[in-house]
Amino acid sequence: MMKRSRTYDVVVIGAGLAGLMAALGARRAGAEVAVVAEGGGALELSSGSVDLLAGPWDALAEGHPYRLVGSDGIRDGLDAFLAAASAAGLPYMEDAEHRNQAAVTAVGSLRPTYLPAPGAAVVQPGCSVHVVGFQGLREFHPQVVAEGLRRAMPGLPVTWGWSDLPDGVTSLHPLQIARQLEEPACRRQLAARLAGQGVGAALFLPAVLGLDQAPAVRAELSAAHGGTVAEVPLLSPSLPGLRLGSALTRHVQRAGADLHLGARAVGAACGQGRIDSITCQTVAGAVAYRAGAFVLATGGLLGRGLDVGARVPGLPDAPIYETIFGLPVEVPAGPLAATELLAPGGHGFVRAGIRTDEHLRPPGWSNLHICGKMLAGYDPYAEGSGGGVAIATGWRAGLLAGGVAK
Amino acid sequence: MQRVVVIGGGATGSGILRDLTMRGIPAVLVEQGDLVHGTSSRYHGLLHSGGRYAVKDPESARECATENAILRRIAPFAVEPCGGIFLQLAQDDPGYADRWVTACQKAGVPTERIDIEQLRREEPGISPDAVAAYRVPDASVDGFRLIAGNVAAAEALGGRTLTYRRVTGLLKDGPRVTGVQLINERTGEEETMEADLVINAAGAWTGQIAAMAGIHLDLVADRGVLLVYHGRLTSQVINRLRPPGNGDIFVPAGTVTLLGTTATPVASPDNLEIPAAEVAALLRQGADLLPAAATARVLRAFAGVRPLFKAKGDGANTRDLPRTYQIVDHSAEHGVAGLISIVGGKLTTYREMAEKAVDVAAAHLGVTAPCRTALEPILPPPDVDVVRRVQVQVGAAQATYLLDRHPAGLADLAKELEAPLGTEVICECEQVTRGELLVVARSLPQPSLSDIRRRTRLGMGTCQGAYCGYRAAFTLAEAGLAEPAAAPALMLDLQEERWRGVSAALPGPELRGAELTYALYAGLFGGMKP
Amino acid sequence: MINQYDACLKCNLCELHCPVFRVTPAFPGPKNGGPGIERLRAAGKAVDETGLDLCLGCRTCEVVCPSGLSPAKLVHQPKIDKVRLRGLPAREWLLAHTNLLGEVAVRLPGVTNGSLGLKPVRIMMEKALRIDRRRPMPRYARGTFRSWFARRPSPWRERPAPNGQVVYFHGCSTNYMLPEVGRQTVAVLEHNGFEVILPPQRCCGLPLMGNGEIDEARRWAAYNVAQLRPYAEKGIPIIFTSTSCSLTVKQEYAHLLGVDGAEAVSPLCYDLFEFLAQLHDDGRLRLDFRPSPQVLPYHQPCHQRVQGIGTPAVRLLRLIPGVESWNMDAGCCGASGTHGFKREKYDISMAVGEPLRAALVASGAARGVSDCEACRWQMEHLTGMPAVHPITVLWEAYGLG
Repeated sequence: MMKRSRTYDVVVIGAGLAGLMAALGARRAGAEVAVVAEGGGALELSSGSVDLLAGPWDALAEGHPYRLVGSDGIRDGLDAFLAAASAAGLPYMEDAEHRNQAAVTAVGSLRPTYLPAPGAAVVQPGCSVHVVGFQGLREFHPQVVAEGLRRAMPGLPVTWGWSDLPDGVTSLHPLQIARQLEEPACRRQLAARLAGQGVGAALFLPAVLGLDQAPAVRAELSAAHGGTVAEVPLLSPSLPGLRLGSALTRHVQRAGADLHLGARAVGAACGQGRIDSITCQTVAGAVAYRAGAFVLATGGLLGRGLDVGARVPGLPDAPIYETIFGLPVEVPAGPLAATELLAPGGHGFVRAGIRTDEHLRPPGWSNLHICGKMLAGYDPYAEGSGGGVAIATGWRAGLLAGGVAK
Repeated sequence: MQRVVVIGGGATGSGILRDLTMRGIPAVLVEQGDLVHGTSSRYHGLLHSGGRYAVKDPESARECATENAILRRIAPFAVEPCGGIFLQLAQDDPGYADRWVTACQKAGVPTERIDIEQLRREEPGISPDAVAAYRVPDASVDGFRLIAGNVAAAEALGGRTLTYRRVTGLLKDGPRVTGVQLINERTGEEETMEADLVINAAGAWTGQIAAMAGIHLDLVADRGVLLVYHGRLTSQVINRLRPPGNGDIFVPAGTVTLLGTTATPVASPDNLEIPAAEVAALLRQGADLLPAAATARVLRAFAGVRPLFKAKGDGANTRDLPRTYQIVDHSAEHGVAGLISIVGGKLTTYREMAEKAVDVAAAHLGVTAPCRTALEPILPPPDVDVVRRVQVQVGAAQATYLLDRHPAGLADLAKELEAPLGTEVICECEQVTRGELLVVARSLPQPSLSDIRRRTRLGMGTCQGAYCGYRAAFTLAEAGLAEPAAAPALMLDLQEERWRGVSAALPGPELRGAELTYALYAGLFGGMKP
Repeated sequence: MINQYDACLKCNLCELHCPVFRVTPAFPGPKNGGPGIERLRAAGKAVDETGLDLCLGCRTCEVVCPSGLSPAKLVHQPKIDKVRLRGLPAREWLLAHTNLLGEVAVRLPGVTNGSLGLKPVRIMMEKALRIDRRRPMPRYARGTFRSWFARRPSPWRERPAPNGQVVYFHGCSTNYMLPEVGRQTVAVLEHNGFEVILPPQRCCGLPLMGNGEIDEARRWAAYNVAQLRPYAEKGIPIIFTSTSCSLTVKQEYAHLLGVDGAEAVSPLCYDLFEFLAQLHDDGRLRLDFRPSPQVLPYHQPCHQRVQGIGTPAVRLLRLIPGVESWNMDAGCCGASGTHGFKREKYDISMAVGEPLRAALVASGAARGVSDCEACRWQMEHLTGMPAVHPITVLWEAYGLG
């Protein structure tokens, strides 16, 4: 009987932001690349904006993933991401002074982000804002946003109002609204309904302005408004995240990487300090993916790159383990979770992950590179660093793997 | 001037309020938090058959057996008659089963031996080590609905309920208690309320109230930790057939399953800490009965405090203390007139406790009307026309959830559902609509989302409020029931309340859900806290 | 018992990617309609199953679920229960019995195709059977693939095939409507040194299963397993040119239908391009392609994507000098087997296919490529531009035409 196998130069495990950047990095190095993934990445659940770091750079702990790639590595990754996103139809813009920008959330807070999603609502000193909500949309309340902005940035001129959705919109689910707003008649009617609201101010709307055609929808509304029309991401679904995830996934395939979704990596065959192949489960049995180098981008607990074992009698805590290679997981000392959700110090379980050298390799492995959330020692949510780490370490891991494999 | 002030909005207090009003005695109930603030919502939700106490505490067992039958009759809206099993494992003392069967017989607890293979068909999840099983009339009871039902019944007869009023002192005239001093926890205002009689039904806080009259009651606050599983692990209550211990009761309740409990004496009834070791012990021992309990998804842990009454000569182990109750007439026992305390007891016997307490109160007040609380259903059956209106709005399936959750006040609910957008779903896991959210919010002064959660199950499902909390807060703001500027704080309060329970049960499969919630609130909604 | 829904985080990824949910509020979606309802059902609660039958069965939800669940299977269960109780309605019966219809139609292809092309016939079909008149009917061939295969002399009569034997499971569409796909498949396999065996076979049963008729599907599956198993036991690969057939035999015969012996057959099953890619991986694929510069936007059938085997066709097409091919990744085409024929689902089917239409048009290509016949018919219907099986491209490049 034939053994099922696939041979590539580089196999990337995981199709989130880090995995996709790794695939692009390996392609840049000239490698033939496969991305294998069990499910979608968490990109679709994000704001679509790329956070680099909310706090000061010199406060980064020793062993932080950013320290592994260095400032040049971060810059290279950002440039690669900007080029890829732009080619995928999503032109992200850096601040000219390389500063964070203040992105508006649906609870009216301001969160520092480095690359706001195209069309994302950001505030700058000197701007004035008018927030509009859609009657019946449960996920957004314009006055909540307006009051939050007044608190967060005293002196910012903020007004708010409601609008009815166009007649052609027959649903109140953000995803369905977004699709229906792509219809030209709906767009036109929405532009008409918004007329007169917030004249002279930037118009902030809930992020339901189209799916793949969002740029066209926003452009039409901006033209009618005669100024900025921007979107505030909703908690769920966050359409700017979905747009980035879909566009980048398509782009990676256009760039020549093979995407194997629904393929759950379950184990590996290893030689002396080397991974020879990984095994993926498919509907007709196991497939061995052979490659010169591998990139692990399975994303921690949420992505099931890490999992929790059954509790062992006599031990109070279930052990956290890495699911494919059984790599040693560094779990911070102390409680896994603080008793407060938004505890200032974040949570221990989020920092669990794999320690690597500066080539992003775990100790003892020569052709395995780790990137993104799987890396130990950082809390992307508390730090506001998730996107930046995924991009910088993903790109670097891909370049390194491509170099190793070639 | 009130005739009677009842302290405590748990099962006993609300039962007393209903009993008083049914006997024509005007009364007002004051509660330091929301209804069921204390132990009545912080237990496993088991309507005891009495089997658990039959060997060690036959008096409690007899009380449970009687009251179990009564509650099924008068409170069908709060009881899920799922039935119960006592399961003996190979490693358990086989002699205990015989003693237990005899004791149940004596206490009037019906038992029926069933074939273990038959049980495996009914409950495929039970341990391979199970060797014998008995059926008992255990059931699952929703503490909140039961109490809300009692309160609604009492209010229909003129009784009043004031929540978020904490008793700070007792008014006294010489040795006589003449009323209560209160603080309104929402506004900070102090109030006084005079009464002919004060009934202290403060559960775990009963000793603190009695102390305000200079009376020492020997009570033990016994903390129990419980776990909430995400789904139904069993269809019936599963008890372990051995002397009562930790982690030996599984109670299915609606969409979830509860595993209880531990027993640790604590200094204060406000000590609701959840030690990791107790969570681990529960999981370990629960897995003896249901192996899947070790790996199934635990949504959260919580703790409650049993108010146990320690008589002279009782030992230190709280498992050995009786689960029965006593009515203390302080005029007779301590020379303090105008004050009656109820100590000990459990939710299953709340009605009988109320009856005995009100008997004493009525004697003092010179009222001779007899107790009728066991004879009449707590709530009248729902109006068929209103039920039909609800069904038209939300469909037959969804209507059954609403009838379960709102046995009283259905007409207001129907109206709210008929309003524009009334049937838009806010909480998907437990199917809570905008109309239901609004009708509950309107009935409460300055409601928190937790107040709404207790009445609707909003935020009690898979996502633990992560996806519905903000929708609910925005909806309240939009309907004018909350200040828009306060909506983020409303949302965050619910999330932090949920997180305390979620984080206490970690690590486990819920770590993934915890990361998702954290990612959403620290990431997408980032910047709320500096 | 740990229930299937237990791992659902309500992360919404399934809902975000569901091609049906985004185009119609009438569908409760994979999250609420799957694990959401299942959790309530397990608690003994009444549940509302309205709209669940709008699911196309594309199983995108299963592919994107980060928790390893299959919401689609939970969503589909009520339909199975309903059919078991009340049987298949006439239209569903007709659409699900592709092979019976095919047997009649190929004998009189002129009459069948002619009448199915007539407006009054379509109006009547729409009125009587609610089969949408706007949906073009696939055209039946003049003679089946099997009759062609039986008549032709095998090239391996004189000597054994150098690379051994393969079994070909052609499926209904190849046999009755697209025999050229079968002929090209046989030619390419023989070009690579394989002897093609054609055991008797029936419809794989997917149209039945998709319409909720499990019991009859099980009987057909048992027949097919009985035919295929002897070859599987000898280690002879079984090749499919229809990705829905391959998914069904690989997975559902064992999982959903529980057919005895299905586990022995499954590990030998290969999608045609999965098999050819394997040959390439083993260094056994002939690479004597003629240069043929062309742009070939590829549409991956949902039922191939869920198999977790990637896009082997794209990888092989790129081996042909001058070919530029990529997976458009534009979502489900919307046809989903028999669904797109139904009156009440036609509009949904077209709305679902809109991103694919846009991607095909934007590619500027002369033709599109996909392994699934239903996808190809939908691609042609959406754009008016031809769509071919990748084997056609390979067959041309080998110069076998």
